[in-house]
Amino acid sequence: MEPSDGGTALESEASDTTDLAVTTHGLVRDYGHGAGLHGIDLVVKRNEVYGLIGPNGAGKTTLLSILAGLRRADAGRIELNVPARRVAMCPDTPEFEPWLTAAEVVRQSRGLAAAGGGNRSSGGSRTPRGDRCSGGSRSDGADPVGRVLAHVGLADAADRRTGGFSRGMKQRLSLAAALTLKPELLILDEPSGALDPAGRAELFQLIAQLSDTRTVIFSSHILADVQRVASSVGVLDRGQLLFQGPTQTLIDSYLRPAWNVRVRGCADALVRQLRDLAWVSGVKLLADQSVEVEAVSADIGEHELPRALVAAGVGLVSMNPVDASLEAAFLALTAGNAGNGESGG
Amino acid sequence: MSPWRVEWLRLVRTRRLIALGGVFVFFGFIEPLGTYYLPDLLRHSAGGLKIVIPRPVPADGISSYASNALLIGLIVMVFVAASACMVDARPALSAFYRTRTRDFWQLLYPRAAVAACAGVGAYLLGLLCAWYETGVLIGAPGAAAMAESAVLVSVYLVFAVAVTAAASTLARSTLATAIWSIAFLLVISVAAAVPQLKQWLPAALTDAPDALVRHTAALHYYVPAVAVCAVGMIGLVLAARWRGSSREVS
Repeated sequence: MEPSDGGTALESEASDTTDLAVTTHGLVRDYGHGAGLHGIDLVVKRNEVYGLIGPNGAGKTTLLSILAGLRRADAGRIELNVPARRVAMCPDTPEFEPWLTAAEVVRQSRGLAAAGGGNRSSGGSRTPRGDRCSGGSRSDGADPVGRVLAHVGLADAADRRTGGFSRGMKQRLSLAAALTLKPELLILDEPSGALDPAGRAELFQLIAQLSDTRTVIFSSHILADVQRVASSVGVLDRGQLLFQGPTQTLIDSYLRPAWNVRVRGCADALVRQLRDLAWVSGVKLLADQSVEVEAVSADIGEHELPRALVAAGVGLVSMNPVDASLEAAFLALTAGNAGNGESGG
Repeated sequence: MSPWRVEWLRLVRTRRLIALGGVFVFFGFIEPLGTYYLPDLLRHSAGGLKIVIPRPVPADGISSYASNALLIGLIVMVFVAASACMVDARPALSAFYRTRTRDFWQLLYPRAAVAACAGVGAYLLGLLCAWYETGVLIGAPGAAAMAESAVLVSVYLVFAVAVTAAASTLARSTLATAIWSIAFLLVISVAAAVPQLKQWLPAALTDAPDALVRHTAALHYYVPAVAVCAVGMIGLVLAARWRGSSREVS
């Protein structure tokens, strides 16, 4: 696989192609006026959770739709190392026949796949962790439909028609209808967009479990969710992949070597002492009486700051890295790309 | 759940089956009745004028049913078929279907087939009603002619569903699909007014109930129209399959 060029922070790791679930080479879909995708080289490893992040209009939905076979690329190539019939997609605003119940939608999903020759509903002897269940209720029993509905938290709504479902319930049902096919590649477009915080937590716990046995690609605006569950991340902006690689690498790349230190005792004295140290490039006392310390490098700061605190003789309450979040890295990366104008790759 | 069961539920739960059956059964009962009482109705509304109307014959009852059923009933059937065949009306729902099937035909075939069966079934149900009431009020039409006309009209209704299925892969909404389909069927009906074309156009089949029951035409007269219908259906279905498969979900 070749990395995207054009001066981006795109990371490329040489991988055995058998370890890859999806790769794209120079994928282009031009909607005109700069919209679309412009040379995407995506690399998604098998059994990993890949988070696709980017601002509105970045091309996330277009990319996922092309991977799912719902749209065509104008140029470029897709290597899908899973059978096409083992790919399932959940759109961001799922819709179902409003006159079918939730259980019927799941059965319909299985029936369509079976009629389509995929025989996905049989699933062989594999029992992925994501499909495990416990308990003895009707929904948790041998019925695979009830089981998958229970798994996404819709057991009580199994016999309700979907016409009255909220968007969040439809998103859960969409996931159930996809999971019942036991897909090898699960594509989720903004899966948590309409879920409440508890629902989001459950969803991403489920996604994390799924990665044991299948590949998950999902897009999200909620970067904390991506950081929580994605092992790899792709940053898409204006149809270009600005970064691709391990989530932690992205965070570390844009991590300021700064810490927020809260001490018991006189913070003013600590600030004065830190200012005299050569490795400290900046220090300030914040309104909440915590101290923000910036070092010349992360490595030096990690070693020298604890020593300095000990030397100052203050009681340490807490010490946290500043902006150690995907959101900060994302903002820094996309802001840099905006500054580069059209040169990004 | 099989796609066939889903299509059956679509008809039943959306009450489209009731609408479809209701309109044909309504005309099946009302038209022979209207034909039987038409002389009396005109006599009472004529004032001082003397209107001479020949006594109705069994063919009048059946012809009256067929003409209305194949106008209003056909429009209802086209709307029912359009709503079923319009796979891409809602993009998210289209994504649900298309990511689970490898061939668009697997989506279209059950929808069109069930809609056609429902349309033909509703027409035949209405025809039975019209036959019964005509037999009670006016006199029994010939069973052979009735059976022949039923087959020919059924072929025309299946052709109409094939037209609708093809239109559903061109239009972006159910309403547009229905309008395009009705417009196409109207055009071939108008074209059938040309004597040289009439025998060859599917619209000729809509005249079969009147002509066969009155014995003004023989069954073999409709063979060219049936052949054109068959060829047309194959062409329309292939076009729908190709067009539907190459379409993107927007």
